[in-house]
Amino acid sequence: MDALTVLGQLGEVKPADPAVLDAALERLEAAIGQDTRLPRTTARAVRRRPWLVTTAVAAVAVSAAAAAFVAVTLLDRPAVPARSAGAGPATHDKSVTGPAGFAGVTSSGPRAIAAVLTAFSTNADDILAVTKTMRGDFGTLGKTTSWLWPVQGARGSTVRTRTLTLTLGGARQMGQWLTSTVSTVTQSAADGTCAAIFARPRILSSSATGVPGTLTAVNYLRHWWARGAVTVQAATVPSAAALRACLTSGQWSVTGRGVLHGTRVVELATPGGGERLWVSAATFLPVRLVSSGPHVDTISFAFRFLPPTAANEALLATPSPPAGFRRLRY
Amino acid sequence: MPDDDGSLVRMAASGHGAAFSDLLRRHGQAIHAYLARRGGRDAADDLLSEVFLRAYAARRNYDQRWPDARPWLYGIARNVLREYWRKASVADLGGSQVGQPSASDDPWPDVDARLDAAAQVPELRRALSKLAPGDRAVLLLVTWEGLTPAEVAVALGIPAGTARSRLHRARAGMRLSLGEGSAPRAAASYQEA
Repeated sequence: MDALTVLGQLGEVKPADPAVLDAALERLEAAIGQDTRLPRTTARAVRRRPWLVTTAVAAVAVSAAAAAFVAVTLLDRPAVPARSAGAGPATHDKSVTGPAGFAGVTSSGPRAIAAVLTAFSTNADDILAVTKTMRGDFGTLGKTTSWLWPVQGARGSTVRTRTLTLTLGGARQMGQWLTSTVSTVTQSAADGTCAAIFARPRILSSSATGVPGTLTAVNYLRHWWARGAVTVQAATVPSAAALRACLTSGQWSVTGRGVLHGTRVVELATPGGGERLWVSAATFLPVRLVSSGPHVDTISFAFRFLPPTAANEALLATPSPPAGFRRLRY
Repeated sequence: MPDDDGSLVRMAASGHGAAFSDLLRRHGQAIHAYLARRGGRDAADDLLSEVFLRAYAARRNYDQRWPDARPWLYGIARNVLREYWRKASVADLGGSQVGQPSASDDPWPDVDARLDAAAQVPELRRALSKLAPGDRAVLLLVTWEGLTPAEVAVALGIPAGTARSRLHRARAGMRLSLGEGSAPRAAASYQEA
């Protein structure tokens, strides 16, 4: 068999789900105001991403955020409730004041950020779970959930991370478990850009400078796994230091107070509103961060600080190789 | 329903929107497959409706002499994919080993990831990676979508002669890289453990 024949075989794909085609046609028909008598019952029963076929922009945003949050919640529900709430728009409640001991904090951006950094230190042994969702003109462009433990370790101590990349439909695409040591490299990884933090670990060539560690990767879609010693690009290591760096680099001001999913929050924003941050009014731990840019409409982060119970630590446990998956080497 | 796509597009352009739905129902699977080969199945699911909407918006640009609308639709799908990759790359989640959006208009990293799954054909992967993006696009449209060089020209918006010469160059490049008649061998850049 010649190579071009093999190439042709590699291009074979499974047919699209009829519901996907129906949903696309329904969206088209909504645009052109026509009814071509589709089998709507079937399409509505099995459609996978209803927010993509609605025409209301607001409904799109709410559905996508809810789906992302539900998908992650279903995949990895913490055994113990988190100390901060999940994603979602805040409802403003001007009656909320700052926590005891933080007099004046909730009216000053720099002081509020200082309180956030202090909160990091007081929760240094926690597990930080971050759900990152990117949305663009077409809807959700990508979702990643990262777990990091401990939040703030001493230099040279072991830090464990897990990153789960989800498909646009919310299914597991790729899992990465990285064990490394806290270093000066990771402490300065953020470059002050909130949008870029909590990326997925990217392996460098062995000769490059980065963060050495042991990485286990499982590709759930392509059914392979790999484990070995690697060097990871510092900026892509999930790191609370990166979050601290992006927070300290911005010129934040307090823009409001309110309630976010039952948690009283203080809202901060950078000049122009390019980035907005909600922190718990009780603990000053970050709850949600939204970064908007010219190319990607919104990148949002939902933060949860989980106590290091055995059940929560298990969220970062390196998995056994999935049965039937092929092993690859880095 | 008319057999040729040109008639359906003409009907749609004259106000019969349902004819356009018929056209897209006819080719929906092919467009989805095109998207899935390059961006993955989930991206295809999400981008298909965008292709349909763009096609409808551009229906008056369709040359009604074209009997088959697939090349024209592939061209629209290609533009949708390029925008998807471009936007996604801005907020790159990181990683280079799986089907992440690429950092440029060139869909090669995604194609590469697809071939990566078939780790038994690394030589084929390397040979494809050596081709110029334009040559590779022509080769994959012919090999994966079954287009003729003339149809590829419509899809890519290039002269037919250019499509033919690119195809010739791509095939020659593949044969040169792989060696005439050689079969793919065991893995190289990814080694089976």
